[in-house]
Amino acid sequence: MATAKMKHTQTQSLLENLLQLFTNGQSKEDELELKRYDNIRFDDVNKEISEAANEKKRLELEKK
Amino acid sequence: MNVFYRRLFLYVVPAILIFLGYDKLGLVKFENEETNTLVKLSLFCSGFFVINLIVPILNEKDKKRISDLTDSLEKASGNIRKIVSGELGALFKEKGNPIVNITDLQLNIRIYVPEKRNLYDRIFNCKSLYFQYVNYDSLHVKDIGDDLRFQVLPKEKAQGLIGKVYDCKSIKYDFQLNENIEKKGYNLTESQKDITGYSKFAIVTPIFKKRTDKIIAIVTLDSEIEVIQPAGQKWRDVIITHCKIIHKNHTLLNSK
Repeated sequence: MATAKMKHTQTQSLLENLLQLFTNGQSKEDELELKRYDNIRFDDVNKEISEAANEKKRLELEKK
Repeated sequence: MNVFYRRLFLYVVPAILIFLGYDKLGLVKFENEETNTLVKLSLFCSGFFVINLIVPILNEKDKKRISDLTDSLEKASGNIRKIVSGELGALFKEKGNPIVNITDLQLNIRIYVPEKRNLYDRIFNCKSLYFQYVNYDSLHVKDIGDDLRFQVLPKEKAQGLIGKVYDCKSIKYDFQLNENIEKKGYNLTESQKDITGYSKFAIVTPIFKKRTDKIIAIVTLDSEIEVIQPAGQKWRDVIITHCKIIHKNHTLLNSK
């Protein structure tokens, strides 16, 4: 578990370094541009589909 | 010198030289007729030489440089794919997923860009938009060919995760993709199902145009390996960092 955690830290920092390499010398505006991805929402579509199916079932039952 | 001004200089100067050499307006005028003819001929030949020899050679050099850069960028993106694949594999394994080793996630990164439309479509089908798959060899393990596209507009006809991402401008994921495709949760055609049917999960991210909310590309990460959705924030951090790298690299998206 500890090794896996260490590996995560290493590869995540490798990715961060790569990002720095690509963004080296960028302006403040570019930095802000990338920050928008920090606030992006993650949606679980499986959950959405299940909820939609349940809602459909509920409505059908109500109709009956 | 700025590339634009260099190009302008290379096209405008020979054009002026040829114009002066072929001068009918009498702009180049020497008293001696022989000198006059000689100067005009030299101007014409210089212009002709630059436009027919120097410009094509410089264009070829530029083409080769761009092609080399694109190759390097593609290779770099291929290596980033391996890093992301390994990283996500390690994170998913932590959660007790049946992955043998961390390189086993066999992640495919696929890039979709808005389909180029002809004049007819722009006028008569302006409300319909498709995202077309761009095949970069270094970015995937499983080849699915070049003929895959998803409708994103109009909203009611949106297909697959690509359509949902275009509509919501958020990152969408599904770790039970197969089941949900079967349940017709994605509005896919039979051909789309055949091509994408191999993937057990997919994480789909939008790439935005600078300073706007317009989506210029949609990137999917998928795999044939079945995994359980991991808890926690770590895998999301990896996806976000990957998004940022792709955003910075988006010239690659337009290079094909």
